[in-house]
Order: sequence, then C-alpha cells, then structure tokens
Amino acid sequence: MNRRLKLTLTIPLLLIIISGLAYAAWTDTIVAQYTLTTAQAPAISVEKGFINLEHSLVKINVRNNDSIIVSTSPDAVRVFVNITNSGETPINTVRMDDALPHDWYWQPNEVEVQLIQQNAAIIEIGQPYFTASYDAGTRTLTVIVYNIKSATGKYLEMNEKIRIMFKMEYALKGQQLPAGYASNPPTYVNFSTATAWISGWSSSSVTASASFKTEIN
Amino acid sequence: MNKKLVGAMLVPLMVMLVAGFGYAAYVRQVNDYVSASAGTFDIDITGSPTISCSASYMTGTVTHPNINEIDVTVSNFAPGDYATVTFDIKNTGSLPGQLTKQIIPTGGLSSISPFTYSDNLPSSINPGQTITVTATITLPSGTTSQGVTVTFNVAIYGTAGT
Repeated sequence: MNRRLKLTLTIPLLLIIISGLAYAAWTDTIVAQYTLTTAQAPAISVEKGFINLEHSLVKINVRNNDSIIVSTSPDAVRVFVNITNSGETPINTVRMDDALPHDWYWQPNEVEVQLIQQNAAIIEIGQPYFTASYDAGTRTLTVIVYNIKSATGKYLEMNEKIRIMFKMEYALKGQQLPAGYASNPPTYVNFSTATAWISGWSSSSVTASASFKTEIN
Repeated sequence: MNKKLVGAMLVPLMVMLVAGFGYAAYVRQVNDYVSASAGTFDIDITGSPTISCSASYMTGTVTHPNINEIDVTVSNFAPGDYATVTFDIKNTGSLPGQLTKQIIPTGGLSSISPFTYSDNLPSSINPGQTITVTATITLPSGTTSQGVTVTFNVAIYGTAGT
C-alpha cells in the first residue's frame, strides 16, 4: 500500500521536475521564407516569305524550240523564316522544318542564321552553333540552333527573333516543261514549322506558309 | 500512518513544483536580461545573405528583415535550374547548441513539390561561432509544372546543449 502510494506520488513528481527543467532549457529559431515560381513554357510565332521575289513571282524561262526549261528568274529563290519569341520565357533552342514546294530543292550549304534583337541589331550565328540537314525524299530542310546562349552570349528574349535564310532552286531546269504548266503556270506553297525550347520545356509547334506564282517565258 | 505519509510526500512535491517553475522563470528572466552571467543560447542571422541563380533569365532576391529571418524569392525556374542562397548564422550566446531544421510548406500546400531543397546545416554550433549555410533549391529535370508558385519556410531550431 505504501509502495503504491509512493509510486503514485513519485512519478508525477519526476514528470514535473523534468518538464520544469526542460522548460528552462533555452531555444531559438531562425526562419527562411521561400517563394519560388516556375517559368511558363516558351511561346513563339513564325512568319516566312521570299527575299528576292517581286510581287511573289518567279519567271520560268523555256526554250522555244523544245520547251526545255533553261533557267528561272531569279536563279534561286531566297527564303526567310522568322521565329519570334512571343512569350516571357527565354528560349535557348529552336528547330525549323521547312517543307519545300514540289519541283524545288534546297541549294546545299546556303543557310544563314541570325538573332535579331528588339533594336534591330543583328547577331550572326555561325556553325557549329546550328545544323542544317536536308531530306530529299520529303524535300524537308531541318535547321536546329541548339544553344543560342552559347552562340550569341544571350538567350532569345521576348520579341526577339531567330531569322533563318536559305536558297532553293528549281528542280526542273534542263527538263521539258511539264504538260499543263504553259497554260496553267503553277503556284508553289512553302511551309515552315518551328518549335522552341528552354531546358526541357518546349513550345507548341507553329506553322507558317508562303506562296509564289510562276510565269512561263 | 497513511495520512502522515501522504503529507510527507506532498510537501516536498509542492516544494519541488514551485522550485521547478521558479527555476524556469529565473533562468528565462536571466537569459533575457543577464545573459552573460547565467549562460545563454541565441542564434542570429548575421551579415548580408546572398543568392545566385543558375540561369541568367532567372530572377532572385533575398532580404534580411530581422536577425531571425530571411526572405527569398526566385522566379523563372526551368527544369534543371537551381538557386543557391548563402547566409551566416552566429551563436551570440555563451552556450553551445544543437541545430535541427524543418521544411514547412505554406500557403495551404502539403509539399514543396516540384522543387527540392538541400543545405549544409551542421548539427551543432559553439558559442561565438559563425557558420555559413548554403541552401540550394532545384527544379529537377523532367519537371512539367509550368507557371507554378511554391511557398515554404525552412525553420532552423537551436537548442542549448551538446
């Protein structure tokens, strides 16, 4: 009985002493408050056109006696594609796939890449900072700028653009003018699809097109 | 007999109770006002905290509103990006202490996902010692969460003792 009573009184006593001492132990706290925000996916717009065409017209010059196509005016069509950063997130990589019109092919090694800043200042991007490859089967020219920051010292910021220029030549030179072309000169349509990345995030693929007419001479 | 025993136990119990709280109050008061003589434990953030970001398109700021707090804001994380915050903690008391930390999501969040946090906080700090804490916040590669804001606190608790 006495033992039980002693235990009953001793245990709370010890608890009180321990908690009293614990209370006496001094503590301090430091707090670091963090507010972190992830970026939005890159956003781009694409426009394209032809640098050396007047009134979007190519003249196909045909020899009278045998209807062989001897040349075009201009000799090659110079194409430009502008890929503009239309979002707030900077861009470090762009890819352009250009589907050349039928009857046309890419003039090898004729690719020029530029970064155009908002004040119109131009930074040339040379190789090896971009690659250009051509699939003759699908007539698709692919140009990739892998690391804009390395190439230019800066990311592609909002409203800045990557301009890609290349030349395409008429594939029917030296051949006879196809039937129907004389009476109905073809209109050629050229499509470009572009995608942009920052780290692992990509923009939506955006497609633009441009067309030009022909005139048989 | 039992009544006597109860009395004999109750009296010391009451004395110790009062002494326990009295001691606590005394120590607390002494810590507050006469820290040097009684032994204190007090950790403060000293100097100027700094922040660096892994990409130039990121923006990061760190402020130091009082000796026990820093506020860090970083925006425009893309996958693989990270920010590094560096700050000094000084034990301005006279007692060594143990350090622990707790990451506490705020703003109704249950985690700091998609971010990860790491630091080099040591487990102890000596009187007069200044330690430099480097905290790294990372948005791991492969993250798909875009335009997301995450808030959290990192509470660093110091307790006197070794």
